[in-house]
Amino acid sequence: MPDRLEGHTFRRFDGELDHLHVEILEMTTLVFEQIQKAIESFQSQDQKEVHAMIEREFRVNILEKKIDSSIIEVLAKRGPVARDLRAIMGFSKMVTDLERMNDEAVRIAHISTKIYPEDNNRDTDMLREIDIIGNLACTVLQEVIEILKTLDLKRARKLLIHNDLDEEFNTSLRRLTTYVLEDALKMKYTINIILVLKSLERIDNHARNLAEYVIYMVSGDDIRHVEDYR
Amino acid sequence: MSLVIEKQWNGQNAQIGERESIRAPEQTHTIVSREDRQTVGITAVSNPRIRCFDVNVHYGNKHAIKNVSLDIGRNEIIAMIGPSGCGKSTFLRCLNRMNDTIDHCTVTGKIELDGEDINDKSIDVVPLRARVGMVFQKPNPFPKSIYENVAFGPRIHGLAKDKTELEAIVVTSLQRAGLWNEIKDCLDQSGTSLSGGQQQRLCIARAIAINPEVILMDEPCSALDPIATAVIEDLMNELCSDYSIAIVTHSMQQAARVSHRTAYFHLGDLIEVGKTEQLFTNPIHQLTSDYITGRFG
Repeated sequence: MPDRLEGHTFRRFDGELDHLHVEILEMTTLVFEQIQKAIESFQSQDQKEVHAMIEREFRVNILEKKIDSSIIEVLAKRGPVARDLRAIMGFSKMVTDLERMNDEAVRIAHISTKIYPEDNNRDTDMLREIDIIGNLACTVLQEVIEILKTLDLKRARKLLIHNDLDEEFNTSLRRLTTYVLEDALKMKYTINIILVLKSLERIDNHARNLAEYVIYMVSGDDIRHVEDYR
Repeated sequence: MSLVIEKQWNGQNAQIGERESIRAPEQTHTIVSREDRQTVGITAVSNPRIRCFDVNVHYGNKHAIKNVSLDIGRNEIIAMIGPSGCGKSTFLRCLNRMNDTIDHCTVTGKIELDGEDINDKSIDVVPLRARVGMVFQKPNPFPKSIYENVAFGPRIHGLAKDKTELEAIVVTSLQRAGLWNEIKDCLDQSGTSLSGGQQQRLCIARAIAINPEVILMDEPCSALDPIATAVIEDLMNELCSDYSIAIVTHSMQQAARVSHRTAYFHLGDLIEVGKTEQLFTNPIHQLTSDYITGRFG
């Protein structure tokens, strides 16, 4: 437990904040697994895994409600201020972003179920785009999990300075346009690939939001929508 | 015409145009360490009613207040918080020379009320205490009727020419204290027969009857239930349009609810002063942060 969450005269408050922190980490790890599975199963066309992943969505939703309920309880009981208040507000915002990341993962799974049974023309070149963007998004999320564990301000700031995924996303779109121009029959498949890439780009944005919340929790600086920060 | 958005960054107003991007906070404040006892935050205000410069208070050998400089603005509510024995009540009592009544208590430094040094030998404490009224932790109505409790001050300070004027002052004060509707039919009843919350409001009516410039409140709600507390807090909010109010409170939530600025005291040092919303969301000093988040105290 990072020391900035502990040390209260009321020891139970330490425990409540610690519990919230653990639940957030649990939810983040679960969402990370969902995203990994979504990317893997899309590439492998493993429909069984795709359906299993869609069914696991409820676990994230249940965690979301559970954490929200814990947050309300802490707010009502403890009336937190300063860094405690910022921590709780940060956790509350994180839950929303995590739930949306899970939605994006499930969206990828739904696209997978939609295209593969009817359209088996799997295109390795296009799947490579998902591989590239997916890897970038997963790397960011992995780093965010570490930042969340330690509430490390420096690492959070460092993560937000560079955004390789945005650039790579635009490059992918250019390549996909070329594929369509070469073969118009690939239009439907390409659109679905673009939708998956867009979901991965959204996942990356949500993951970066988590790092922004860590900065707010630790330093009090609200750097959301700050253009010159990145 | 371009829309101009008022955006606040770390308490500093900056106007930004519609098309401009939101700028990053220029400098992230670093937390001041526990060992550093220099006051952080801006102690001065642009429209001060009271100005304190390097105030020191000693009780015999005990150094109770150490070099405290702080302004109290006009129409401002300033809350003073801190653990027991930190000097907040002692500081409050300096503002109307209540410490004069304590043996072995010496006050040095300068305290100005509207530019006038209140510790100057030429200053008479009786009119001073009329200008700087005080409400205490425990309601202390005189063992007299409700009417007499409020009429006493204006009478001895000669604020009313005749009985009609005195009655008008009593009625207005009780109305301003939010007590009139509850006691208008029993003004002859003893002040001590009222409930705790009503007694405290009677004391506030008594304080405002002599038309003070500043009201000092030393834990005014600590003996009251939440409903009576809410009434007093509402009242403070209304009174600050005419008076400056300095309140000492142990309730952090009360300080957060009622005050415009908050000052945190620790072992006689004024550690941090700032806008209440800033101090309770992002305090600068580690000691302030530890205290308000319940990490010691």
